[in-house]
Amino acid sequence: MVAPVGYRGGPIIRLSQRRFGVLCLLGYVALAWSMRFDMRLGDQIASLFYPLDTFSMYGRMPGRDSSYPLLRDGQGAVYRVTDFSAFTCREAVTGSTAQCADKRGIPYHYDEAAEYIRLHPGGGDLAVELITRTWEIRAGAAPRLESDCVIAHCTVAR
Amino acid sequence: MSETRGTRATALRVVLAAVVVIDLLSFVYFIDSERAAATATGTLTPLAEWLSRRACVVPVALVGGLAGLGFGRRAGRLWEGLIALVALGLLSTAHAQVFGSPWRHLFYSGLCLAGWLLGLAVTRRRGRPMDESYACIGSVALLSAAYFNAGISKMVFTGSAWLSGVPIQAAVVSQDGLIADSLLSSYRAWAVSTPLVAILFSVATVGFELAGPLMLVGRRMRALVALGLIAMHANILLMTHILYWESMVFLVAFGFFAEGPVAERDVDLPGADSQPRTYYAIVALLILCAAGAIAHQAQRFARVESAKAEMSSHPAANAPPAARPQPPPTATPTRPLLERLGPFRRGQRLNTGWTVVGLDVSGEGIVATLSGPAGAAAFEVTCAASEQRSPFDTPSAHIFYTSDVAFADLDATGQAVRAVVQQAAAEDELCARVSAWRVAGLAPHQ
Repeated sequence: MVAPVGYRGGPIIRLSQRRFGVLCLLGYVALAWSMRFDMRLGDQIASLFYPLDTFSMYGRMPGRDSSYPLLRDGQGAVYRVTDFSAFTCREAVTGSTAQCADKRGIPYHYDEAAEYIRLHPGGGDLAVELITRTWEIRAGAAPRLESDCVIAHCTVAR
Repeated sequence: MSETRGTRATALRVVLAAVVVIDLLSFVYFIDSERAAATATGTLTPLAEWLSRRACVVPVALVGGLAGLGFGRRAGRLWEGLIALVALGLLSTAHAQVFGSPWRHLFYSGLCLAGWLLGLAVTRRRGRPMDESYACIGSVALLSAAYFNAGISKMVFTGSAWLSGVPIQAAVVSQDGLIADSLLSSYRAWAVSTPLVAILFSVATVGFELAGPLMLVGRRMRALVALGLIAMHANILLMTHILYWESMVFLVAFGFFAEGPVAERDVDLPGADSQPRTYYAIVALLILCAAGAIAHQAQRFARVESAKAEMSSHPAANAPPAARPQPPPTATPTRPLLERLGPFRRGQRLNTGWTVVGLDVSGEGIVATLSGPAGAAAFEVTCAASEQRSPFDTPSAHIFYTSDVAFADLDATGQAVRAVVQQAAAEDELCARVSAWRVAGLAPHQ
């Protein structure tokens, strides 16, 4: 389009650029949703090519339960695995391949916990259990502690 | 273009290039790290193994990084930007193959760069290669499209249930474990245990995401939406430790510092201004295409969910298949959409001529269903204690089978299945691998 004589920028030009933006946006949305491929970690999680995506990673309802790996001492107090710097465990701790696999939350938390324990060997005085703690998540209510599943028995030191 | 506008565009281009280069170099580390993890758990496919080799990854990252620097140095560097974008695409694909899913925080640099390049292409076509006003708008458009898609997906896959606060509560619990050890953990516990707060966060999240396209309306609206999205990301960081720094940087840059639509003179877009009918026709067509594509994916999702619900309502489907004698294969547990599981992939042809047609996890193992000239059979690999024995057992794992095919007709295939399993894992770590395969098969969506 040829700008009017003496035109210094105004609504017509802005409109043209905005329209370009709208075309980009709609084109992206249409292409991103047109094809969705399954991958190892889920169905319909990849679009045609980078950088197309539907950003659906938090779009689905979670399961009824949510779990997280923790350490629990004899009094029932819980700690993060990273709160300690030395571990000796009776059982092999192998991340997401260990016990309680059906009570697992996000796999990489378990893998990271196992890796941390593996990289921090050593003796300690405090006897703890490595557990996967599970909560029931209900609409309109606070999460309810459901169960603790023991993965391994360890002694730890800070 | 005025000097101020030119300076702003330069600053935005430099920020964009910097994030692109950082993402490109980060991919080297991410791919290396995920490759090691996938190797340890036996989930590295031959394709992923090839794509994630350092000999492939490092040169791509270096070439892309250099191109990204070239793109950032001067206005109008379309080809350098395109090379950087292709490099990002290649590395993202390799990473997704190794990890098993794309990492979305690494998409923002690519989509802002893609939008910038689209704008550059338009102005270049009209003989103004150094004009970056459309490039800025292109980046804003694709950035807003990403958030719009996120909002759409929540409504399409979950509907109003997403606004119940449950997804927020579940995300915080599964990312933090609700340990009371700091002021932040008190905030998390309060937000999670107060349903009204969780609902408020859910509504705000979906609201700001769906408002993404309003970033194209004007500067004030753009800043307002960007502020809401930045607050959303900051809250996600506080609640779950998840940092989307790339998108936050772009929201600050393009949300507050990109000028409103400006240009010294107009660029003739398809239908823009001079032919509004053509423009509106294209918009209508794109809306139709987008709506159709979204509806299609929603239907696919509903079908998969329905199949899962049906499977879980038939407990027998999860029972371990018996060894001989064989019941009919009608109870074979299969989930057709699982493409790969442990050493098996759908469509894999064994040397006996039988083909893997279905893969699934069972109560304590994995199940591969094969089809051959004589019929079908399901083989369950499990380390669960059982008094039953199968002729295909390894020293440490059972390989039970379920079939109405005569044993003589599936004997060789059972041996072949055992060979595949034994090739994938040493005997002393087979049970750990079976457990890992099963967990991978059970992994939640994204």
